[in-house]
Amino acid sequence: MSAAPSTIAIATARRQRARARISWIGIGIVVVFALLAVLGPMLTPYDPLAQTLLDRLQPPSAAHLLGTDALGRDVLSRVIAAGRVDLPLGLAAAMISATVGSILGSVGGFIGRWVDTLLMRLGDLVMAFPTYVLVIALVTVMGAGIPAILVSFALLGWIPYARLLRAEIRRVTHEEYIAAARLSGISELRVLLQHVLPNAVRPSIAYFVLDIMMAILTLASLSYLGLGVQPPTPEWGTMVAEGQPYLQTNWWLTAAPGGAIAVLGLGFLLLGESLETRLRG
Amino acid sequence: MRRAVIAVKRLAQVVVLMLGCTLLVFVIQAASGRDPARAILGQRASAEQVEALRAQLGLDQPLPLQYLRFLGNLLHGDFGVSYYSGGAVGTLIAGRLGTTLLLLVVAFVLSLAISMPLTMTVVRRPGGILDGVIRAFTLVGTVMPAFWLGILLILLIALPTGWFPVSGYGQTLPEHLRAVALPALTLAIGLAPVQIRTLRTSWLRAMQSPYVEAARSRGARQSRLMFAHALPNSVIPLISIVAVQAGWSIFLAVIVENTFRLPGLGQGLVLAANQSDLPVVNATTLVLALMVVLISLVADWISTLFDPKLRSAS
Repeated sequence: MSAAPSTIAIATARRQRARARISWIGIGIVVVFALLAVLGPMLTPYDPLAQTLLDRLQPPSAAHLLGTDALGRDVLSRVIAAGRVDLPLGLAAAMISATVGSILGSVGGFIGRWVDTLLMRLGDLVMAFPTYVLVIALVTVMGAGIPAILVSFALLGWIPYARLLRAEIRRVTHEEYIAAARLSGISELRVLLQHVLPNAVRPSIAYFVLDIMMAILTLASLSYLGLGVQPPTPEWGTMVAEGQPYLQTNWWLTAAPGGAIAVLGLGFLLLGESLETRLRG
Repeated sequence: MRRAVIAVKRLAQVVVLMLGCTLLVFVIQAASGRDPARAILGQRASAEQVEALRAQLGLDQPLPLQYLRFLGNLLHGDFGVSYYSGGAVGTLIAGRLGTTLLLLVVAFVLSLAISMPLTMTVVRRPGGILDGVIRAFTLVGTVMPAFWLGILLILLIALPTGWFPVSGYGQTLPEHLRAVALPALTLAIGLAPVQIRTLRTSWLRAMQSPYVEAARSRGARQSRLMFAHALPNSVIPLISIVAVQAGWSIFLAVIVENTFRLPGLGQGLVLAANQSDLPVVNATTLVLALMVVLISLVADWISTLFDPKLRSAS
């Protein structure tokens, strides 16, 4: 409080530099995981599905850097291969939510009136639900697996996007340049797509990155419960569940996939948070 | 007067919400395409037997009538019959409800016991080393999958010390508390980061407000400024965020109940889902939805205790 302005300026600059460094850590983590997922088959030392029952439950060694699981499959290969499942699925789930939410949010925010009211009330209703518990009910009806999860994300994940975009659109439409665009006589749809949306999407972008993290976390949790990706497909949550009975003797069976989720989640979180502050400022 | 209006409005919202929930669950049931009568009786039952049960359950009537009947049954505590065991779903749920309630209560108490003191140290010295440590904790708490965190607690606390059971619920209350301790801690670590962030923002803002500045210029001590002046005005966002967390916390409860083999609603839900036991899944979903609604109701009520604007009669 009594600090001279120069000290405050230095502290702010230092904080900005620290924030930049942190966002680079986030980007680095995400890039490494993306590369691992893309290059997966070239990098994995073993076939992630190949069972060698004689080599089951091996501790980490030079031949198997993260040991082997109860069926003699190489854990490192499976952790890398699982990235090819979790990362694209998380991305797809977040993209579905973002698309549905953005369309409904633009419609509600731009048209307003009863359409807007109806959509927001519907959102309230779904939000008041234990959303993720509802996913379990949907999975029960549709059968465990990827389609059920993507459908649930489309049905339940749109609300934050719709709310964010709607609020921004309502703010933007009062700006003078929108009035100017309307006066120039272009169609309402073009006003929305070319003038309103580009100025309203910023908060949604930061949320999208955080949503990928939440989607991966949810997907892994459902798979852990046996309701998501089905074995033998390598998936981090499924791998944790498969390793849990051997916790006392072979803790790396759960630690490796669990750690993968946490580190990747950290990457998206750091990236999303730095985007959030940057896009706001 | 105004308070009564708000209360009536909230209750009306709860009723509408729960009706929406039941409708959704009914639609899921109807859309599943499975004949409940066939599912209950099994594949070996004759067509006549199935037909008789269909008539008895009212499945030969039009869907709107079936929905009303479903609602009426719910109001009488009749949640239907399990496809898997053939037992009454209501009894199944009643046996598991207490475990989940205890877990949630202990988890929320623990999460506040973590987030309040941590936030306090940050507000006392913003930007210090502790601020960084707490920020690291909130990051970790956000990205750790609950099931993995639970497993880590088993590995690092339960197994080495032997103080906490890694499965089951025990018979007496002390045994119950010991059984839910680690699952609740897992939940609390998942819930605390958002609470810390919310309370930190509102508390720091309150500390910079004119009324705290005025109290400071009158010579009030730092602790008095923090707790007597700033805190009561900054807890409302915290309470609101706890209400928002209700839905997420129940999903976390479902996960950790399975990690710790705690016989609560969440474990029953996943068991039933894996057995395609739709009546149990739907009834459990309804009960959990009711819990979420009740948690946010209680949070609203607590908010009114702290907010004179909501409390006043004018």
